[in-house]
Amino acid sequence: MNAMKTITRITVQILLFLLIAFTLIMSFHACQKIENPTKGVKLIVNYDILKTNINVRFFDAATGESIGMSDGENVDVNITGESASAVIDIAGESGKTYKSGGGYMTLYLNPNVEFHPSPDNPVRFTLVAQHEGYLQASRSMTITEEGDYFVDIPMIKSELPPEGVVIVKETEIGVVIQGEIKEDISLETENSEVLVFIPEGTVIKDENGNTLNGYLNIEITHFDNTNDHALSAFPGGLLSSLQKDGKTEKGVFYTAGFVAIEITDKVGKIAKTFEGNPFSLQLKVPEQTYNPLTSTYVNSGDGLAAHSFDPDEGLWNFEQQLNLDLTENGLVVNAQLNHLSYWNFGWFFGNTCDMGVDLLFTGNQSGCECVNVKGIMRKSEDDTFLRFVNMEVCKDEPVTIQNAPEGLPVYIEWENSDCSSFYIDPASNPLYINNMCDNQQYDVPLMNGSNQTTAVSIEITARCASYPDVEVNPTFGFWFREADATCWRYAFMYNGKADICDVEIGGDYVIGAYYENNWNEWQVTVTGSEYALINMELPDGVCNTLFD
Amino acid sequence: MKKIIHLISFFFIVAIAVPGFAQEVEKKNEFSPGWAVGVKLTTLGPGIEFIKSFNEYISLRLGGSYYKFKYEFSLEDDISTINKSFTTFGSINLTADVNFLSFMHFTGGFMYNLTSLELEAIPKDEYYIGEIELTEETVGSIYYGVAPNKICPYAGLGFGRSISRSKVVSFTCDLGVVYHGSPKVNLDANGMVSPTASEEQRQLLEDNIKGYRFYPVLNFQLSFRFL
Repeated sequence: MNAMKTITRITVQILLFLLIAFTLIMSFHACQKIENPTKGVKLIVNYDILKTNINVRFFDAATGESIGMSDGENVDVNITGESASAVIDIAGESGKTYKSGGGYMTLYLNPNVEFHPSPDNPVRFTLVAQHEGYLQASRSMTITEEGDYFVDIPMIKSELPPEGVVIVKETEIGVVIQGEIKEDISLETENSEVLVFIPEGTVIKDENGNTLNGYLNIEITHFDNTNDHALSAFPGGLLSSLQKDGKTEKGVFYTAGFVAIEITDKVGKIAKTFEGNPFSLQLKVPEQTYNPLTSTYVNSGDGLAAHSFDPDEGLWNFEQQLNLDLTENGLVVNAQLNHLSYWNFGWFFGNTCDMGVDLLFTGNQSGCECVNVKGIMRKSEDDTFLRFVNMEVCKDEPVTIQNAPEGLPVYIEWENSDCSSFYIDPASNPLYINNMCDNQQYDVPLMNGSNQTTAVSIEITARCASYPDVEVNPTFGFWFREADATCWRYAFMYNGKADICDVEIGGDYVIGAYYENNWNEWQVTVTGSEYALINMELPDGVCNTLFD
Repeated sequence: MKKIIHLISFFFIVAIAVPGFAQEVEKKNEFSPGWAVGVKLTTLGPGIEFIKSFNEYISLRLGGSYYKFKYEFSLEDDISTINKSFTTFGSINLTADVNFLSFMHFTGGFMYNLTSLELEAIPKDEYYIGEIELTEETVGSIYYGVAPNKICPYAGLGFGRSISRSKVVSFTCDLGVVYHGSPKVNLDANGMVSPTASEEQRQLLEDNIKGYRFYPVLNFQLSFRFL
């Protein structure tokens, strides 16, 4: 009995000891320091703060090629107009000269609240483009809502103008001493579309008031008002704003022809003003020019105006009222002018609305959430070019035509290009609209001509080498084309994800993107429907922008 | 490790050699069952406790503790942040003391664990990319919360008594451990940094601390017998 008690007591003590030991051990074990609880965790950032993209393409008006795609040249772009400070590049900088890459450029609207576009706060600006050997080009824009915008800007090459544009150049003509011309100077285009006469005694100065000297180099460019190529190059676009009597009016230009004149001296000073005598300009007006005031073709005695373009403001200015005369050269308008700019002769008519009709693209888009559609808008009255139409249209989402002509019957000729298997139903091509500002919605049937294509999903995460613990989900637009094609299609990556549709499995494609003033391309072969590119390293310039 | 071994050895000696002495001491103080209320200061915060003794070996404790504090600090970096930490310690406990010696007891039971750690990081100022102003709302904030299991077993060793055998005042000092299991992580974010709170990241944070399953409890308690 005593032995049993002893054994029991010892057993209990041992158990107690073990329990105590275990408790003490676990108590001390629980006091361990937590080592690096955030190990491997990254800061992941959506870079989707830029809500409005302006995708611009500069192309040679004669050849259609993007400027700089083959030779790496850049087009210089400045932004002017009342909302110029709203336009930024991807680094968030405004007010500087931007450069295209491969003919492409993407600019953005600053997402700060004061620049937020709305019908009550439209953002208006003008893109002014310059490139050596090309005439200055410009396009005015009005943006009233966030989204993707596409602008095609044709540029006229002096040495190779497109059909409808005539250029005449004379070098080392005249004698100029301290700005004063010592003999009459006359120059005209090949078929007398434009005749310029500068009388002896006229004093020519540049924009800073400095006189020109020596001899003059003169280049005159005439734009045929009945030709698409010429009309597409109208400074700022035909839907524009006009300064007249201290007021700014919005409306549509009906042009009887427009002219660009550039005069330089032997050291390259560019003429701006003429003092003492104005210079004379005679413009020949085609008989099939439509007069919106008379609603018929032009006649002798018809009144029309002379307008000059101010690229700094992106505005046209009313200069003077003129009349058409019938001469042995046909119908002409004669003007006495005292400064150089783009000169337009014609009518500024009607009104525009910031937000026009809605277009809803219907039909089976075969897995494509969004497709790019293009076309030309023409005036029904005379079938002349009004503007390019270029938009990204998404399933079940109507697209609003911005900056539309009010009360002006137009039609849109949709382009069915080899770029895409999608096309507009021929029954709806062209699309006729009586009034672009009547708040109506028009359905546009979209067809898919191929059942061999599919959609590909891409996922990208990016990082900067100097910040390995930070990942960026990029948001940007890019282009792609078939390897043996020349036309590019647009796609958009949002927070690192993009869906590219209408591609063929096994097909070779080229992906292009614009950043840091350069056009960059990658060759890919589509082998599957999903791609993931993890930890793509961002260029130093982009990293510096984000983190410095 | 050496210290643990020395401590275990000490208690082994105590456990084996002292019981006889304790029995003699116990005979001198007569025991009567009763009730007591205690105030305590623990690593789970300050609190109160009700104690019921059934016999001189077994007593039951029901109590709670709670402490919450907020700590704010700034981090200066490319994105400067204000970091707000809300740390809560607390529990509602139901434990039993086994007084194997007159001045030592083993405690075991369960706790309803109120402990949690929350951290919120908010951008301190506006941040600029060129002329683009990124407000605090645009950049967003990150919320990180850690919480253990709610129902947790507890085991501990105490010196003294949680309720006096026959007198009014008693004191005990307990050292124990709560097993709270692998802590659960809650991760949330908004604004530009919202993808930081992905399920993969949350799981990674949870995996980083899954080995920390125990919490040390040090308790100092002064009890007053009222019955």
